[in-house]
Amino acid sequence: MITRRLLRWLRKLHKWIGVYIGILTAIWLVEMIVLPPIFNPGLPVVDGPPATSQGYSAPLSLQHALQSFMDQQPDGIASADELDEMAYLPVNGVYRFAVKERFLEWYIEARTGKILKYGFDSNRLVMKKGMLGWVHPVVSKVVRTPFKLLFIFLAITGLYIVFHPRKKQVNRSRTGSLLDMAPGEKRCLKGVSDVALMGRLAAVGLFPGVPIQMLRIRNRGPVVILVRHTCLALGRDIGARIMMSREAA
Amino acid sequence: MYPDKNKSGAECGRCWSCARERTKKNIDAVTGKEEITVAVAGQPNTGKSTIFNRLTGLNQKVGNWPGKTVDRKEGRVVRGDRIYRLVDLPGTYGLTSNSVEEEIARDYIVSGDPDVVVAVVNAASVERSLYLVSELAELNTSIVIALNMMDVAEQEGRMIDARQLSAAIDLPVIPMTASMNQGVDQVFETLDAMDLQHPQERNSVGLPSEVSQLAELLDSPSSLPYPKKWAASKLIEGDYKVTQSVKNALKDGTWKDGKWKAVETFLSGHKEAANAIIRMRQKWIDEACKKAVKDVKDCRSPSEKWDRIFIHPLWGKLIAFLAIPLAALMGILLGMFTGGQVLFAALEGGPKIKAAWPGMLGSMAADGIAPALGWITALVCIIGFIYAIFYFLEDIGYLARISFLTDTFLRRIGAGGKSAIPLMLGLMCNTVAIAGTRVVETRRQRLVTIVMLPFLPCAGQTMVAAIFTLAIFPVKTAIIILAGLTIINFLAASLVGKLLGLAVPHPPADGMIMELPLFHRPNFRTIFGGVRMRIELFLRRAAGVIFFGLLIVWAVSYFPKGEIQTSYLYQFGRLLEPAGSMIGLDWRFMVALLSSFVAKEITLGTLAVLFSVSASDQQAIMQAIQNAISPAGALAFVVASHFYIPCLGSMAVLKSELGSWKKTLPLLAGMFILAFTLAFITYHAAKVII
Repeated sequence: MITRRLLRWLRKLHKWIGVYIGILTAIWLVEMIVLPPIFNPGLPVVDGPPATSQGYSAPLSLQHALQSFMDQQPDGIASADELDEMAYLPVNGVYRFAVKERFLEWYIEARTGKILKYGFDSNRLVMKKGMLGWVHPVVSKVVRTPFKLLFIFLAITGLYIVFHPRKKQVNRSRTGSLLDMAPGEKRCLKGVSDVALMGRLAAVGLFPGVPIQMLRIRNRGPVVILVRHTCLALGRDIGARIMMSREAA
Repeated sequence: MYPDKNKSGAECGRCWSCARERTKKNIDAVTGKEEITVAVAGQPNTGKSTIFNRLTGLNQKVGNWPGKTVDRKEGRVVRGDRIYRLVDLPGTYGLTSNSVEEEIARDYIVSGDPDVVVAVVNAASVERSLYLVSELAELNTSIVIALNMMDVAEQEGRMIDARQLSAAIDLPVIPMTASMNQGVDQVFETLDAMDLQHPQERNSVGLPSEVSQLAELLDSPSSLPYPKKWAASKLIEGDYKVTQSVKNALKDGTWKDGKWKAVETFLSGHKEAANAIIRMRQKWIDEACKKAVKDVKDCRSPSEKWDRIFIHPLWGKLIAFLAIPLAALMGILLGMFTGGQVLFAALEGGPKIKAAWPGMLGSMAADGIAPALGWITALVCIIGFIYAIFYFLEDIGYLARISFLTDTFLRRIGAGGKSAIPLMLGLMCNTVAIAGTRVVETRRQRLVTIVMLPFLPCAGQTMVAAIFTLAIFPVKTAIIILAGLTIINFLAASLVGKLLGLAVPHPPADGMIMELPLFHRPNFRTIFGGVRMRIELFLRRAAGVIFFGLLIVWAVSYFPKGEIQTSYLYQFGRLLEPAGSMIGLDWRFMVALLSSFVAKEITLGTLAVLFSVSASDQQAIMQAIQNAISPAGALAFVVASHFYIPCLGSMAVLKSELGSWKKTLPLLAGMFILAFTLAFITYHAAKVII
């Protein structure tokens, strides 16, 4: 009994975590397409430092590199004050200047002070602003935090469900009530098992003999039927008390 | 409750047989014109309010039905030598009552008060909406049928021949499209031509013989509040309310219990009769529709296509999940951009008024009258916009879908599907949310919703709690405390709703039967008519209480010396200090809690005054709080503030929606005690833990 209930809950959890991850992935994909053009002021896209073949020779001092950088009148920046990162990458033999706020970066050859590569860092933008980070950093954080954990959970419940597949309920008792109808099916109303309910149902057009089309029925929750040009939603407790004829209308 | 048994029938004037004897003309004393009462009745979603608005124009009077918090609209129209008094009845599917609204409509029609009933029938679903007519036809009242929504019927591929229909049921039928003002004049022309002194000839439903047999059983000098034959048919149909009334009336009568026993035996012996009655009505409707209704083409309505998304268990819920907060937020924002500006201006202008006009009068104008008027303007605007959005969603048919999707869940806690938006609003402003509960359908569900709302923390309360927790705890802890507290509030609200739902009796067969109307273009006249009514009612019932309440609060915080530090409010706060020390609060925090009764946002302002720091400097306030209170006390304060009685505006609206102080005061007292108890527990638990 407990295992069955657990299984049901796991299956449900699996489904909703799947939905959650699915939605987030969809948002992420859309953001990857939409965000860069919005934030990019029209510069080329860069991804990482350039490959340089220069050996280890003495680099310019930061002062000189900066001077030479500004002399080349780089795009997207008016004065050196805007730079919020200036780093020397010894392996590549380049300086990296960046405006992190706006996701712009420049790579300058350390020996000559020439701009090798510059532009807009899409990857960092998507990492930073993706997953609803553009709404607010906290939103992104909240949304992302359980991501890994949920993934692991999804894998475990997935395996569990594979080993314990759902058993189809074969002998579902067919009481001949409204709840036995399949979506799209059309049958006639035979009667109502409760006098007080009968009047209430008649008032909305549910008379004996009236054809009813089932529009929506699920394992749980109210059902939706079409009766005489009116769409009605009925609670399951009410549906159970409406008896239907066996043959299709 | 029922007419005195000693009075003879001719005198009682309340029971059916006497009321019907009034055949003489009802002459208006001033104008000398004949006054005719016209009840506008119809099933829900037939465009009844649109027709009522068209018939009366803006000449409407709104109020409550006596003793019930259900809207009653009345309009007067003078035509020729007649004055028509039109009464809008709540929508009802039939004359069997399942809710207070249906009971009101039913009792009013059956009372014999209306001279004519205008029965609104939806042409797009004639078969269903004629059911009410089939029941009305059994009564003696004259009937005019307004066959509304002819345009929708045509779109749906249905041709309704009004003349054929009229011939089949022998009642005047007026085809109309009220949303485009077609056919409205014809209603009056028909009414003008009617001779109300003589009973209308009509082809009514032939009821089975059991009905007259039972009616004869009831026939004796009894004081039934209903016509006998009708009561007999309702007894057979098992109408809960009628059964109770008849039972009481018969027990009062000369026959004592024996009479009711006889009726009961008869009923149990003729169980099949109910079936027969319904079959006869069905036959009547089928015969009426046989000739008049032709389905030209069987076109799928676009509503069905939309419903594939809008009531989908996943997509529909996602959309509703976005739409509900969006609707609530939009209403509040629109209100803040209009009426809110007046409030801000009033608050900003305060010091200027005081400077220009020193002394008590200036202070009263700056701190009492101006903010009070500002609050009322802001609330009027917010309530207006919220209702405009509500009515818009209702008019296009989406509110019914939201209701459908949330019904299963909300029913568990005793509320209904349409409570979803008011409950959401409760997180922003309780006053507006409580005022917005008129959209909730049945009175029981509305009661549960209203009582739940004060437990939800409004934006002001959340802000106060945020400042307090941020002042004392690190950010992460503060967020956890806030979220936890909000969840506890929700749980408390659900629990209260659940308990109340169990306590309030409900008629049997209470399950959901909900119509999902066709999606259609909104009718702005109806929407604005509704908004106007709501604003008028708010101004009449709640605005005065809010205004004078705020003035009183100003007075106790001003007198006797003209400053809050020495005021009566302060003295009262000092008086409460022993109670405050039980939950770790000194007098300043008690005064702040007391003043939060005006509006939750004021709490911080009061604290700022008491700590002598600038009210606009949040850092300084936080600093002051940090120095004055222990973490356990801060927690207790936040808990107390979240569960404390609602603000003055909410109270005024609460009273107007619950109908009396008798129901409101116990609720407030309960909240007060709960707030104090929870704060007490929190303080002592926190002291042990921290």
